[in-house]
Amino acid sequence: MILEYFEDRFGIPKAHFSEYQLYQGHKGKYYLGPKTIDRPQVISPGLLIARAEKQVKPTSNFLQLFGHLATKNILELSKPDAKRYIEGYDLRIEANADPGYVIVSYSGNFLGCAFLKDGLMTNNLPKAKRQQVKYL
Amino acid sequence: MIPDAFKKRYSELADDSGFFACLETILPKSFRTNTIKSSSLEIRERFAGYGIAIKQMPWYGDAFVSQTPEIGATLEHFLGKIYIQELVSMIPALVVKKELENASLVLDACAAPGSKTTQIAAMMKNRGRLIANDLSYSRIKALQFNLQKAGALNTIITNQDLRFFPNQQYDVVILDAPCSSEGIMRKNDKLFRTWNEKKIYGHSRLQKQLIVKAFDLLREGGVMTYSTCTFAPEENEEVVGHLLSERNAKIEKIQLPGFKLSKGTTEWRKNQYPPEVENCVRIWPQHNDTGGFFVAMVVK
Ligand SMILES: C[S@@+](CC[C@H](N)C(=O)[O-])C[C@H]1O[C@@H](n2cnc3c(N)ncnc32)[C@H](O)[C@@H]1O
Repeated sequence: MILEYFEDRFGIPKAHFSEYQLYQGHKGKYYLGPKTIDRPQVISPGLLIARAEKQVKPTSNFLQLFGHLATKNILELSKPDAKRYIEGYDLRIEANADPGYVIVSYSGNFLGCAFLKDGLMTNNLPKAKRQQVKYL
Repeated sequence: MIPDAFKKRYSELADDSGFFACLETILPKSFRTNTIKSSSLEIRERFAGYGIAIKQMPWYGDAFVSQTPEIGATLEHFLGKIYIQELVSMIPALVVKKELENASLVLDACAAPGSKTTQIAAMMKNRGRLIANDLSYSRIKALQFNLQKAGALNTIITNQDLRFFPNQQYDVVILDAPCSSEGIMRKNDKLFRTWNEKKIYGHSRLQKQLIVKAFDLLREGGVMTYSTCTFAPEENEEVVGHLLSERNAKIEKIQLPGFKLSKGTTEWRKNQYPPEVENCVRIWPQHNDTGGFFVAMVVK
């Protein structure tokens, strides 16, 4: 259901992940990892790609890695807005997109996840990833 | 300030007048291209576009040095296209690069915070299985963050004492052991203040247990690296010598064209180590303007 959602919402083809296995962890966490784990006491099996509680929320790390495969719901930012996004700010955006999660991009780079609704882009970058960038 | 006892201990072993002076200079910034997300060609072009001078290392095309302290303030750092890492820390994975490219099961036995794990995952092209283990739960958090940022898909994190690790046969094992860290004093001179010989002996005892266990986890024909960022022979050649006395291990020669390596020492304070430990390499800071390091490549 997670990979189907990515295909449906962003056009990221599910078939792209056939070499890997989807794992469900605690608190609605989903990981994409190697086909077999065959050991107990694993802290994390691969890349955390989404949290799914009420709805599926993709991780920024997933979108950074696979955003280039997406065909829709990509939000292209200007340089000053990209900088503010990376610093962690929410942004007012004039965008004609479906409300929901979007892939934030800047000049061919996939920066991460945001939630778009009624002209407001809510920043979904985890706090630990937010930073100042001088060169972009 | 370098303690006198430290100077006394190493003046002979370091056999080169530049050693102590070098330890008091600042380490240049270095980073590695994360080939999961980028290429060194792309990194060169992008940094040139910013006007940031970077120097590519002749001995490892994915390694760069920069005099600019601001490489952390680039979009490429935010995106995980580069990983800030000491040059010497890149060497263990580099010497077994070919084996990593062909491996299906790899263990990074003491992995946190993941400088080497992220490099190994990239060398494995995100395929096969890489087990990244560390005893310290608080350090696992950083390991997790770094692996996610790097985009590692093939990596499974575990949190166990290596000495009690479940038996499985690995193609490659990377043992980057906990050590007295004398070699990172250029980065963190507080270490000089807390330095004492007693710490060396404690580490040495644990390292001897870890190296034998790591070797037992290797399949027949598999390859392992043992590394530390310290100068003390008790934590280096003596540990490798211990493995040789306990198991049928072979120490391979290491070559890294374009980077000056020194051979392991077979004598230290009345102790003799087996002649094979000469195949281990010592990296003295003054030779390549890096931190200090020790690497052994072991074949089963
Ligand atoms: C030199 S650091 C590893 C650095 C790491 N390889 C890197 O490149 O980022 C040594 C690590 O060994 C871990 N450690 C210490 N004792 C251990 C044990 N018995 N089993 C597993 N890990 C241990 C420490 O928590 C520490 O993170």
